[in-house]
Amino acid sequence: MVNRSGIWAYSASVAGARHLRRGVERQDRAFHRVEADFAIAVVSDGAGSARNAALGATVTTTRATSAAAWRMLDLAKPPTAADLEKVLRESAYGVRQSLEELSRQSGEPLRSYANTLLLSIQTDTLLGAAQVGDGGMVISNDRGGFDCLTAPQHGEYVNQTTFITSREWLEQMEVKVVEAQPRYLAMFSDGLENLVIERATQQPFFGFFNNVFQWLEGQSDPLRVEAELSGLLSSSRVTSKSDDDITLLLTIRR
Amino acid sequence: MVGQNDLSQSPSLEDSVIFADNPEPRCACLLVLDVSNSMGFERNGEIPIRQLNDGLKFFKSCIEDDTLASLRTEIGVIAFNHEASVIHDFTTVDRFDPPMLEVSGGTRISGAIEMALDLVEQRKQTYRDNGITYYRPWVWLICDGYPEHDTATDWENAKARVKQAENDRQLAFFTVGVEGADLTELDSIGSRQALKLQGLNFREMFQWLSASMSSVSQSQPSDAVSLSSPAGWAEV
Repeated sequence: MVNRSGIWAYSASVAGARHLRRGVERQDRAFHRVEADFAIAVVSDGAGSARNAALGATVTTTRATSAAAWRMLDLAKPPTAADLEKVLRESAYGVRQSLEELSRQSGEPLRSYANTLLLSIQTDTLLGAAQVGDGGMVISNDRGGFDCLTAPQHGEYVNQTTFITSREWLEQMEVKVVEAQPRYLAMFSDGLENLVIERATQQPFFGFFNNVFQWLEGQSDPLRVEAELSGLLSSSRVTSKSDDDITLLLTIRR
Repeated sequence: MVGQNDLSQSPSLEDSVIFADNPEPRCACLLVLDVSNSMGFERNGEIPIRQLNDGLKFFKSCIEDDTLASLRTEIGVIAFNHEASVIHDFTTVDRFDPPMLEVSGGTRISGAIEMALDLVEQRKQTYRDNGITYYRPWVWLICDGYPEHDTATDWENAKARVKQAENDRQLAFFTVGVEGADLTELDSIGSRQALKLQGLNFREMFQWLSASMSSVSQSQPSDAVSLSSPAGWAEV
């Protein structure tokens, strides 16, 4: 599907060294859907110690994408900011319901499916985001730099966060709609946080995002883009800083 | 006693370089060590303080074996007899210089506990001031005695403070009793049962502590950090 705003989406997700050592499968997931009038992108990070986290993350990414897409297709055009916010909230709620249903059917506790949610929807004029848990979203601004669209949600300790399966997920969910058509959007799981967000200022590392998107400008083959992104995320430069699963999803308006 | 007691530290210039150079999240591990006279009394041909000193060096080498844990674990040491002193402020293992502890005096545990809780809170503030994320700190108290020089009020206050800090998830507090310790009193300190050191197996204890620091300092959100059984160094 060719998007009228020229939005293209690419993603790569690799298993962390810690997962490989323990023989645990990758629990990060990424999914996107580009329609004529909108583009939806979702990243989910399954919780390390939750037994069914990989399945939980799969349900989250696919369910969020389909729930948001159906609602977007139903909206009067062009959608307003209020419409978009409603779609984001309802889609997150749809994910939570699907996980609860899965838990009921399987008899497994809901927390065994623990995972985070990062959901973005872009239209010709608007950008909406919903986030539960850690990881983050970064967009380009019109000054040639990058801004955080949402902030990673950690508790006091770095190994604490909220999941969509948590009791307090709704209170902790950050939902944002802005009138913006950023040329670039990056979404990433917490495995990449240390490398791309400056801790003290909580600002994106310009060097990382600038280089990645400049490189992306020169690419045209989606398969090659995703293969090279996977290579980057698996490289020792990245894995020496993080042994967790790593996911990076990029969108560009060409 | 050797060392300094000044807890009213201003932001250190050195910290700014240390945290810029190594912005990894930190896991603070504060050792609170009994250096009262009785730690110099021989048990089955061995002297506890010597084994403890040897254990501290071994602890450093164990953590050094794990690259990520050595970047993230910060060790601090408080030594106490009837007084308490910070003898090694928190540092990552590369700058940890295992102290050579010497025994003297009686035992006052509450003062050491109060100092430990203050030091941990202060370190967390330093992390926050420097934009460093962190894990829940561990306090590891080793004692072979009982609250000999503690007033009843001080002892009750210190225990209440540990319980509150644990309930508020401010830290994790562990107590290890060396042979001769009043385990009933030590048991009453935190929410965890005090562990009794098997013989003078400090090396095995520090190996376990190092492995635990590795697990904690590499845990991700929701990881239920699984600690191995302390059997091998503790009587369980």
